[in-house]
Amino acid sequence: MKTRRDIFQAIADPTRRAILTLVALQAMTPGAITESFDSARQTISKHIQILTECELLTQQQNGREIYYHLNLNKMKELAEWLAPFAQMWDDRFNRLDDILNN
Amino acid sequence: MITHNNTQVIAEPGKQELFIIREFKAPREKVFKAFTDPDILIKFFAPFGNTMHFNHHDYKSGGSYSWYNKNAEGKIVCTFAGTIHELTAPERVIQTSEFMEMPERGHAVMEAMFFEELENGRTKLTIHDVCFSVADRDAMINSGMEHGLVDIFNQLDALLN
Repeated sequence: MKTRRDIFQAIADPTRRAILTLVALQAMTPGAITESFDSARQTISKHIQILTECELLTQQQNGREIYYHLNLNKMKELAEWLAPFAQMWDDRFNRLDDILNN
Repeated sequence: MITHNNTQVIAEPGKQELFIIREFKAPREKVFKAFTDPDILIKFFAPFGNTMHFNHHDYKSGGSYSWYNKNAEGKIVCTFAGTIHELTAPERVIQTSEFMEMPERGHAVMEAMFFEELENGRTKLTIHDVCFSVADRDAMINSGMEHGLVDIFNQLDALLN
C-alpha cells in the first residue's frame, strides 16, 4: 500500500508527469531530460530521483552514459489500482440492468 | 482509464476528478428515474452485499439526501449526504456528496450525472466527480479496494469459523 501511495504522489507533480511522457517516447540521459525543461538541473535531478525510487523509471548504463527508461510494468499497476473501484460500479450497474429489463 | 466489462472508469493520475461511464439498454426517462427514486436506488446501489437505507430524501433542485449502508450484520458501514443543486429530468443531476464517517468535515465531492439519449432506446450515463484535492479523489477510488478487501476478509472469516 505504501508503494502505491508513493507512485501516486510521484505522478501528482506536473513536471514528473512531463518527464514520464518524454521518456515514454525514448530512453533519455539525465542531461537530455534536463535540457527539455527550464527548471534548474538540481530540481530535475530530484524529480528523476523520486521517479527512480518509485520504480517508474529504470536506469540502464550504455557506455559512459546512463539512460532512463519508462517502467511499463509499474505503469500497469496504476491501471490495476482502478480495477476494484470499476468492479464495484460495474456490479452496481449490472443490478440496475436487471431492474430496467423487468 | 480502465474498462471493466461495460463500465468505463477514467481517473488520470494527479487529477481531482474522475469519470464513470456506462450504457444501459433502457430509455433515458427510466434510467434517470432509477438514480433519483429512493425506492429503486435501494434495490441496486449498495455494494458488497450491503443494504441501503435513507435518513431522508428530497430529490429535486434545492433538495437534499442522506443515506447509509448496512452490512449483513446490521452494522452501519458508511453514510453519504449531500444537497441537490440541480435536478433536470431526464437530463442531469448536479449534487454534492460527502462521506460522513470521515474524521473531519470538508471533503464534499461535486458530482454531475448526465443522461444521454442514444439510438435504439439506449441511454449513456456519465458520472463526473470533482474533489477538493487529489488525495480526496484517490481516497474515493481506494474505497473500492478497501471494501473489496474487507469483503475478502469477511469471506475468509466465514471459511475459518
